[in-house]
Amino acid sequence: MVEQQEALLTVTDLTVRYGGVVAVDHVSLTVPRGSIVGLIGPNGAGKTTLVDALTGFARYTGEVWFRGARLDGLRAHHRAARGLARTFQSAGIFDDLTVEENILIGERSGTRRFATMRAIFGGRVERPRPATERIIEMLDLRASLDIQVSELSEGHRKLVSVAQALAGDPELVLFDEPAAGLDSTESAWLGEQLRAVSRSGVTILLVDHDMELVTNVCDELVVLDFGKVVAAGAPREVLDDPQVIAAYLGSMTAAQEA
Amino acid sequence: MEQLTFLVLGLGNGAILAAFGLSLAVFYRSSGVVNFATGAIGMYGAYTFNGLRSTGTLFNPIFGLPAQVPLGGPMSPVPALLLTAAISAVLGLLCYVLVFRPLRHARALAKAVASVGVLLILEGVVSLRVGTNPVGVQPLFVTGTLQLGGLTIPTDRLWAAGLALLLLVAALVIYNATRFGVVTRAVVESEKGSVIVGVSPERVALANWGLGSAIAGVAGAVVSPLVPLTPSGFTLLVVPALAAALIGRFSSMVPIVLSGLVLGMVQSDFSFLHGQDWYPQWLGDSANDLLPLIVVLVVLMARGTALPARGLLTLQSLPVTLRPRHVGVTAAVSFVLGLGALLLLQGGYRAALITTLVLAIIGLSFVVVTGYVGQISFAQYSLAGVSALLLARMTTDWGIPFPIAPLLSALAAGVVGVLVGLPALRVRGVYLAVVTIAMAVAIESLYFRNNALNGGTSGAKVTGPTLFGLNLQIGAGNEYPRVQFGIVCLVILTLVAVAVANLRRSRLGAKMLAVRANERSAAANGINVARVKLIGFGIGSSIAGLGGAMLGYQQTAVSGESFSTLPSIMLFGVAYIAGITTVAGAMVAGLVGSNGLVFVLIDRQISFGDYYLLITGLLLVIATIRHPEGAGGAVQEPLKRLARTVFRRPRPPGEQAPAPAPALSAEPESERVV
Repeated sequence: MVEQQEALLTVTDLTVRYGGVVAVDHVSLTVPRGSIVGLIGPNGAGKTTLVDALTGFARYTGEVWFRGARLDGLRAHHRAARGLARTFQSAGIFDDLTVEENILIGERSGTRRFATMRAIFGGRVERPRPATERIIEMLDLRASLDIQVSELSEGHRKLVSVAQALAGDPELVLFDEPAAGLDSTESAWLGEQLRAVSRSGVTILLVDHDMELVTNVCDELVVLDFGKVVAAGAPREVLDDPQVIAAYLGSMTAAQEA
Repeated sequence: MEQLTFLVLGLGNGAILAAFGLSLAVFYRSSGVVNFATGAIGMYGAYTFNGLRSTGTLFNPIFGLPAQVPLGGPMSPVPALLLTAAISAVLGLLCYVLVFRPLRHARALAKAVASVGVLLILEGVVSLRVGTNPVGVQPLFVTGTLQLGGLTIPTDRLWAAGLALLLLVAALVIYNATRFGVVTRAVVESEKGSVIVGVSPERVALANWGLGSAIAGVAGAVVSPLVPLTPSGFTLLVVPALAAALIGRFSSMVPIVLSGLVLGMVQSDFSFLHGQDWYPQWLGDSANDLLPLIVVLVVLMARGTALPARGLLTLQSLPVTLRPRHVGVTAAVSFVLGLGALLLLQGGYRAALITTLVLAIIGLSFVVVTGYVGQISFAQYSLAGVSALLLARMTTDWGIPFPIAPLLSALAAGVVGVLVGLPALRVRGVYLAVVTIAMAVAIESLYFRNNALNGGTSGAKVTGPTLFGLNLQIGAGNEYPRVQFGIVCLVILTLVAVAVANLRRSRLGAKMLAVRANERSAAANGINVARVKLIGFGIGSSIAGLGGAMLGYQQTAVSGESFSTLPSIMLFGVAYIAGITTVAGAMVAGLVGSNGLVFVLIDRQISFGDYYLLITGLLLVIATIRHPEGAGGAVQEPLKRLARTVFRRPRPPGEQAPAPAPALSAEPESERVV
């Protein structure tokens, strides 16, 4: 079952402590290039903290290797510049800006020299570059470009954050609960889009609660509970694992016993 | 030994800093307001107390009634002090009920702006009703001296320091040993929690505002015989007090009071050091004002984001800044209109129009720094002053010609502006506002009031601009103001306005707005937040510098003191009211700014120049409460809603899935929880 693929992201013994609380406890995992890996776990399992640590928003101990180089100690924007993009749980997009501007922000700077100077002194409005145009086509956002994000539906906001993350031409995108706030049909539709993204050659680490989305979309699952990896492998196997069932139902049975 | 005497003398000053610091903590802990008006409240207390003591009259702020209400003969200190405490407390209650309760869910930044409005109101009222001349205050304490090991100590300083410590002990007892104190601390921990426990956080905040203002008022009253009593002198004591409050993180009262006392003593010690041979004489008296700035910078750089961030988590932002459309056409039409007005208007009105053009340039600097990048700076007008004084040096002493000199001085202002912005790398929002106000005070003291650098009492002479033999000077006598100079200002304003509008249409502009909206997700998108902020400060400050250079050409002899801290705060207020996020807002700021066209038009009718401070303060408070985004947003929002209904745009496609919940799209941007 395990395919021998090149590891894009390798995490070894990653630990995050908030004061006395260990939010992520010696987590090790590998994301193969081109795959969609799902990261699941009950509330408070440390999923978002792990994503925060990987993207430079939380301090941690341990090692993170990405594209053969160590990321530890790099700040958030430097990690993004190396091709590690992320989205935020509560849509990290900017309400004040239009869809186009939000996507434009995602593009890495330095791709076009003096573009800002030309814009300020020459009055040229900056537009997305061709590669970004293709993302816009793929996600079907062409007609919404001039709309302010605050006017969009929740599903479309998620889509804009996907486009924004992709515009930076990342190798790996960490999606933090993209399906939160979506109903099951919308979530299925978002799954389609994520598959399309994956086919375009981007590796995905998907954090979500939506079991259906995760099992349908992911090649591999990693299950966290109390900050520890309790299971990893193909979706079907993982979900039948008694430890995983215990992790998800444990809190409930404990509550019943109490 | 002599030095020790100076240190002890500083206890008077230290006592008031300690007490103001205490008040700042009380306000901040209970309602999340960094109250820039704390010094003004103390000033109000000082004037009230002084009236009661010397003539037995009560200071009455209500216009139309006599400013001094006789209460039957001079009062003795204790009842006068009690009455002052009561009146200050009422003032604090009013502040909370009228201003800060409506803003209780607003961002810390909006609250701070409102407190600046309160500062301007109090300053305006007292200046109008009592005047700005220093008031002689009869001593409160027995002015004896105490001999202590060969050291002569004036007892009044000891009394003052003792009072500060007494206030501290009282505050410690109140907050640690009474139910009120426990409840206050519960509210600090979690507003929601206190609601569940059954205590209204608003009532707690109200009581704290009364208490905090009483502390400030009593301190002002007690120390008023020891420090010169003028409206602005007392008001700006809030700056070193803020430094003391920062040391105690706006919460630990013991460090705040101790560092207030120490700050005051060290400031006094500078007077001693001033007499020493090694002391750099060009510093003048400015070391006093550099000290708070250095303290603020060191504390903020060392602590960075570890400072408490109460009230920062609620969602409320500056208004939407849309990408401007039709920049070229708008600029051309505005230019022609401005040109026509310049040619039509004569004399004083033309001079007012030129002032408007120059102020609008400086207004555009606020658009970049605050409107786009979301950083508050009270120092923009100070930077303009730096540029104006530099321009005088360059044109008159070094003979640098017209287009080069103002560009160089603008660049210099830009560099200073980046220095102002450096703390923004570590600190956000309201703390940055504290840095910039300390910066404004320091620049005023070091440069504008420093006779070694400011060109002396007659001002620094600026040699007027000429280009290719064309005389572009503003002229003098009957010639004044020449239209040629007005056209130069108009051209520069138009160019800067177009550049600022274009900046908004660039990716850098979009990034600036992203930083303004949410620094975390901006960083996640690969935006170097620090870099964007510094670029914003650099651009904004260069623009302020360019405006300042034109102001220098206009004044022909630059008076450094006209760029002091209060006008700097005022101009921020005006820009905020006019709409700080748009180019159009900057134009409005130029029109209504001090000595701008609208200002002069109204002033000639009803001579309201005297009321300007007060009116600006009032409008600023109203603007923050009604439209935290500034009045420009108030105009834009309804227009946008209209446009949305008239030009119904098609909903975004891609709805293979059933239409997602429409709740979000129906939400107006300016919605606030009140």
